[in-house]
Amino acid sequence: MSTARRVAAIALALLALAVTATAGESWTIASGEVRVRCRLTVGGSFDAVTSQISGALRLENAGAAGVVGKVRVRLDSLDTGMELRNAHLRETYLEVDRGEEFREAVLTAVELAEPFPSGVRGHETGFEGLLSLHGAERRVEGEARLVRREGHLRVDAEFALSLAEFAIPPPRYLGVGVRDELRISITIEAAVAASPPGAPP
Amino acid sequence: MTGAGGPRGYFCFLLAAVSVACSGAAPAAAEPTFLSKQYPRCTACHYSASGGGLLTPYGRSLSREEISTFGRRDVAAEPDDRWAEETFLFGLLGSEAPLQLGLDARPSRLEFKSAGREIPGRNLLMNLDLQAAWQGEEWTAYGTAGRRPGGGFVSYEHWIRRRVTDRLSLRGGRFLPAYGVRFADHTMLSRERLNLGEDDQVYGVELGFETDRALLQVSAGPGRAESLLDDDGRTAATASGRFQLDLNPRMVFVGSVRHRGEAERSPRSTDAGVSLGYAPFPWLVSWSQADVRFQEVRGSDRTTILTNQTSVEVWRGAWLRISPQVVRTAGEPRGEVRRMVYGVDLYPRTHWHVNLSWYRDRFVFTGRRNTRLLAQLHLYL
Repeated sequence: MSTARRVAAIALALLALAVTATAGESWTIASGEVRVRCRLTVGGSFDAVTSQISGALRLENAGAAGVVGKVRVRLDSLDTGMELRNAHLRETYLEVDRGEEFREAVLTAVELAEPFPSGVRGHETGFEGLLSLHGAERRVEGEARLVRREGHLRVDAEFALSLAEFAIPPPRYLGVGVRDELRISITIEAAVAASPPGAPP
Repeated sequence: MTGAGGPRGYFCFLLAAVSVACSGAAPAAAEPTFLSKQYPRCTACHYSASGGGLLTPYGRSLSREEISTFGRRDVAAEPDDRWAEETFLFGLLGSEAPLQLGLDARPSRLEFKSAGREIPGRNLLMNLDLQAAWQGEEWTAYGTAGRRPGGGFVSYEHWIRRRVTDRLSLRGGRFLPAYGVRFADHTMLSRERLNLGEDDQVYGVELGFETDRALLQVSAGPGRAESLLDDDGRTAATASGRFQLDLNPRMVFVGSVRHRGEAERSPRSTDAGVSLGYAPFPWLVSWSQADVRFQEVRGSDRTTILTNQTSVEVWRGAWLRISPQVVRTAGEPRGEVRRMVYGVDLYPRTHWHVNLSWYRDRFVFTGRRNTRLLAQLHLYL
């Protein structure tokens, strides 16, 4: 092989490596569950659960902190296991009948505290994002665990939110209330695909 | 006595069996079962932190909306704009009033069979109690007044509680000390054999400390209330502690301990137990409890009690219940009893609870079997 060819081959290899290193990754949510832990003022707690979670996210560059895209959760499907409690939660407090922005919670502009490098299987990091809920938009912060496995990504994330910050009135019924801080747990199973820079999520 | 199988032993045994049968059995109410609806604490529905007794307005609402088969109303209705079927005398006092009243009546029928021999059945009014609670900002006063099953007046509970902080509360008076799972059936071996029966309340003070996931209840006092009142020689200082950890809204772990000092006519004893409640689905709940009683009695210093109660809601307001129970006393094989209880609880309408329970006790040493059938209408007005 001539010197010129060797140089060309090395340059091509380096270019390929560079493209691989900067190529993004898209995550399309295949299934998941959102669990909202509501603490009662009389002690104890109950969970409101839904599997109506959808959306797609994309890492602009492998190893980047920013994640583009949206995660949507249908609030009118939150189930506490009791019909009356469901009705109060959905209609009285979340007011899902007021329109789409009340019917859905949307998480956007997610930033990982520790970037998720490509080729790494498991990763734990803090994160923050913009949560749209009950017609208000607020920043939330939490912890996430990401695990890649055979074309899939599993995300377990947790964060807390204040009902008052989202202008949700303090839930109270016949002397029993729900405390202001809710704990949200999200589990997502997503399909992973390579995504060129600038591609939609 | 000619031995356990002899005629005299048989007669004594028969008498004991009849007395147990006549002491009755309370029905399964809803409180431990409500773990299936993600209510791990008694105080969501009851005034008493150790469970049982008068329902709070919230508890009354749940009894209508989530227990009864035909009581549920339109969920869109507001609490104040409808006929309040679940409240005392259909809303006479209002749900928001600081004073709440209730009436608890349990007409019952008991059938009993001992070693295959029928014993005449009995109709009885197991409970007839007026219950009252007054709740101010940080104070709660609670009391019951009623008729003792055998006749006469009884006030099973009367106490005052102060909520010192959001986490800390203090109560004093007569109450059933917090220990293990308060199964509604007071003849459960884990209640009956540990002196946590219908009239085993103590006089004392109780400190309650709670966080979102844990509850600690510590009590101390001069002893069993009825023994103090009757001066029956069984009065002894009693202290207890109960720790509950909510592993999640559907799984609860409880550790309990109780110590009772020596009295003129009863030995010193220490009870320790662990309980686990698990409700994997909204229609299934299972509670298990293991207890050990240590006491200074010649020949048998340790008694072990294992109990389980599993309930399945087969239809809204219709629960099937099964409850295996065992009690063993070390060094005393005659003391081993294996009990199986099959029950049906029907809640056709708010305030109405029909309980059918069939008990089978097998005395392992003698091989004798006793059965009991309880048919009870529980009206909680």
